[in-house]
Amino acid sequence: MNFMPKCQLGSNGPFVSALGLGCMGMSFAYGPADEAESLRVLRRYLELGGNFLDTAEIYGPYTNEELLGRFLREVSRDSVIIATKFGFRFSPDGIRGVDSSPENVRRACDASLKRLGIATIDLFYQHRVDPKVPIEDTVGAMAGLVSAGKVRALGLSEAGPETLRRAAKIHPIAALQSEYSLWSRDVETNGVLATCRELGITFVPYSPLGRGFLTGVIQKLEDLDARDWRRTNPRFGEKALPANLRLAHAVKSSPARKARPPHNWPSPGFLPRAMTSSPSLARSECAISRRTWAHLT
Amino acid sequence: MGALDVKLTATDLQEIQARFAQMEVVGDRYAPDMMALVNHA
Repeated sequence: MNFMPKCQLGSNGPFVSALGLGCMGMSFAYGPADEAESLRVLRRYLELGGNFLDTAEIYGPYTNEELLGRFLREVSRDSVIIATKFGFRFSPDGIRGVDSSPENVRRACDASLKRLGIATIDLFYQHRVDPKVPIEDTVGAMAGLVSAGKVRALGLSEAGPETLRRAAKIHPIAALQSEYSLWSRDVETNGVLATCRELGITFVPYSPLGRGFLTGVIQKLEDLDARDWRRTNPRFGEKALPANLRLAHAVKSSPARKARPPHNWPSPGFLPRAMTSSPSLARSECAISRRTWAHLT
Repeated sequence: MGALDVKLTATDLQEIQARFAQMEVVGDRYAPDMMALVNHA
């Protein structure tokens, strides 16, 4: 087992490894799933000292939690910290919009526990703020899950400063997960990072390599699978992608890039210095997902 | 995982800051329907 630095989520939350493993891309959004490879990545991540796995009900939906559930049967429960998220309604046809009503909070928690095959979720995030439900009601329901022993710590995702303040008055918020990278730095100027520091909320950045783009591995739209969600993302558009390649080139020639051989350079050298916690390292964030992990294994 | 060993000096950070400050990112980070779910309050 290798050593990886750990940090605590919030003031009373679990200790997680400095590099988390965002599992979304294993089942959702970034092209076809490959369960055998995903399980290999998960095993190797733990061997290298990682313990922080990130999923959500909406990833699939459901299939990413089910994948982690199968993986969790292989490992001891105390070797991993499981973060998952709720906040959407579903029908047989797909996603039906946001829903952070107390009823849906409780439904999602029970369903996630079942799919993951665990008794307690270590970190339960609201995935997106629901404008129709006061955050106090949502966090109140989440706090009830802590009291019931179904959840250890609470988090929000993509919430603004005032929402964070209101939420933290109801129950301690251990983590905020929002997008943060060299091409998404809003949180530095919109008060989010400052509020996290003030309230003792650990900031967990997602997409620290700009959904893989900043690695330089995506040079044209055709480099993405036909079903890859990024094809619909404005930054990967027909005109935007070529223009944004300058950013990937700048990363390639930066000081941190020079410090490590390319295949050994996933991300944290570029994590903005204001970051207060670990990155979520999504599989396809790394040019390495299929290559470096192969090196590692 | 070797990235955990990367240490950036103040000069490195200034260089990165300066380099990226000159560049405009083209496009929002989400399409409008998903951007609407980002909470600004």
